[in-house]
Amino acid sequence: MADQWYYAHGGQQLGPVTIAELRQKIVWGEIQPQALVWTEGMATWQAAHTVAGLATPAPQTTQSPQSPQPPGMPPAYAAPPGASPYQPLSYQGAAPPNYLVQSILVTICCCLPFGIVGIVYAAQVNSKFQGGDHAGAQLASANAKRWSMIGLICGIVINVLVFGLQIVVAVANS
Amino acid sequence: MELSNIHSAARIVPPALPRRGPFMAILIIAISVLAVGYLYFHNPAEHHLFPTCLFHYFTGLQCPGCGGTRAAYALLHGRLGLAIWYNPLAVLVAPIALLWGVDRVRRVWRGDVVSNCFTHIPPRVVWGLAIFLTAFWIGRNLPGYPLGP
Repeated sequence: MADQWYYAHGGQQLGPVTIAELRQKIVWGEIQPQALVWTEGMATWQAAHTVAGLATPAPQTTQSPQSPQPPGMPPAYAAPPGASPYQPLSYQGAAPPNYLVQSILVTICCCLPFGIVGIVYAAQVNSKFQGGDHAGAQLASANAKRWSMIGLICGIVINVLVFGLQIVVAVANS
Repeated sequence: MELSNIHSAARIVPPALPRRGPFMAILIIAISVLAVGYLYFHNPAEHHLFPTCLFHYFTGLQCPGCGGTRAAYALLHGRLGLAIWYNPLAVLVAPIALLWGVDRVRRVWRGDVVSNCFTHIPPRVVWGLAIFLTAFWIGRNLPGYPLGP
């Protein structure tokens, strides 16, 4: 069976590569989990993180992933604590987005302090990424996104509510 | 490297990549041009068809964005001094936002996963921005603030 995968990068189709190579590219951050991939048998291109078999990272060792850990393994070879084999895909190598401009625009346009929280997380994304803490940078990136989104949604909801109220008042007074 | 594989006979050809990119990019550009065009011909200081700031509406205080639309109008007409008087923060943010918008449209056009071109700014600069923003929010409401509006 053909182990030929194609992936989209920069708007272009690249490949074929094996599934192992494709996983590696995702883990290394060469392509992002949202990138479109295709292999024989798939009707359309799909985002890599929605494809079963790609959604989990490659096994930690080069041995067969099905083989159980040999008994009596010295503790030095055990996986470090917290290194679960089912961690979400991470883009090590590529800097995660820091949502800096979104946070600034939310602060200015929606006049809400959530944007400032977003900017503080954006600073954390940069400092952690530049310090080599990629997992921390990704966590900060997720938080920056969350707070800028909260700010944006609150801003829109409040504006729509007040605008609606003003119309109701205007109609009632006329 | 990829092209040489076309000749291998048994290969199944992948379907064409979805190309929504140019359409979305043109849509974003069109909306931006309309918005900027509307702003260019309508002075926010005289027209009321602009979104009002609710923070100002409810508290009477100036938020960090208050005067931003008037500052953008002044900037569009080349009046930098007036723009700074209305909102110096907006003048500072305008080129950053422009850079971000251009980067974003370029990425959307190419069909790239949208990423961020601001991740390599030194963290101190970002911290400085957050502190400046907060200080400006408070400072512009204090009695001695020298600028408008």
